[in-house]
Amino acid sequence: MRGEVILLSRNIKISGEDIESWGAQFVTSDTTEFDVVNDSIITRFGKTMIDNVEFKNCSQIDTQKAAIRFENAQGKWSSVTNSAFHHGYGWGINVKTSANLHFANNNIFFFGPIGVSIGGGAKNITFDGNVVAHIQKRTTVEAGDMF
Amino acid sequence: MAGEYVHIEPSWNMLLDLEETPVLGLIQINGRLTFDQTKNINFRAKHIFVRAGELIIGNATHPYEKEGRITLHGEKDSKAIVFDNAIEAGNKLIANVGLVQMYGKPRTKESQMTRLTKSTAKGDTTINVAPGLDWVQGDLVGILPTSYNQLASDEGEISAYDAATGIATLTAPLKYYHFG
Repeated sequence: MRGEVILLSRNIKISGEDIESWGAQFVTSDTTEFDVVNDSIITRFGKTMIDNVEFKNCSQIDTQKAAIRFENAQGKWSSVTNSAFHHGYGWGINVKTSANLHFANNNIFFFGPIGVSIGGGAKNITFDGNVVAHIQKRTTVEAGDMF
Repeated sequence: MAGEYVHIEPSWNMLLDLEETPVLGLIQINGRLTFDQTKNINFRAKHIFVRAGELIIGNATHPYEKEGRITLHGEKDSKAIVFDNAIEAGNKLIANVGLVQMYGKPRTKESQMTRLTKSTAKGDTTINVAPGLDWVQGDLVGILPTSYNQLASDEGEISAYDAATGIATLTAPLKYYHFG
């Protein structure tokens, strides 16, 4: 089959300052807070709508903190489409105990050791037309003149 | 000021029109923060926490057309934030329990993923792909492997693309053969 060529650039860029293989991360969740004034519980529901956005140097090595992560995000629906996630030292996408998410036509390139993880109680997730490539094993490298 | 804690209050509707912010500390958004659609913006911070508010960059009918950046700063040992006991939020992040909406300039579906129309060899600096794509100088592309080696992919920056012929020139030679 003819080789795929994927576009990694977008005009909105989210990136981590390139330091110690430690990228940035984006997490969406639901949470509860105690309202001291009214003596009640407030529940907040995270909602993320992303289209044509580039994530570069995002994800944190040896953690599950992926470039984009949905963790306990169930109350509202979110969508990630037509975006590019590339060059992270950790996971690309992580969906955990979350629901009602739509991922379509995204390019996920150069992560490791996991490109996309959807598990741990995830439900009603659609994953359509995404390209996942160049997912590397976790390796040990020579430190060189790092230290 | 650099490193400063910034709180966007619930009733505020703020327009961010600075071309480059200082590296702020924690930004807590309880109102609305919107990128100015007419400006190139680099929003720099250590943590952005969208709590009871909204972070808006473009919308579905009016995508953001300029160059917009959110650059997150910090290192592994930087201070982490906690917003829920059950979730390890960590550091150097955008944490959203409100609304984050980002709509960038649309790229055509064909431009986002195309295929080689001619095989390329190691050392080549041009690739042949479909004509009529919206690629421009400076775009980054990934050229995926066609061999048994799943890591035999290339990445390149486009220095020129001829929309009539579909020939794209890269700034550096390819490292691997790719079937097309």
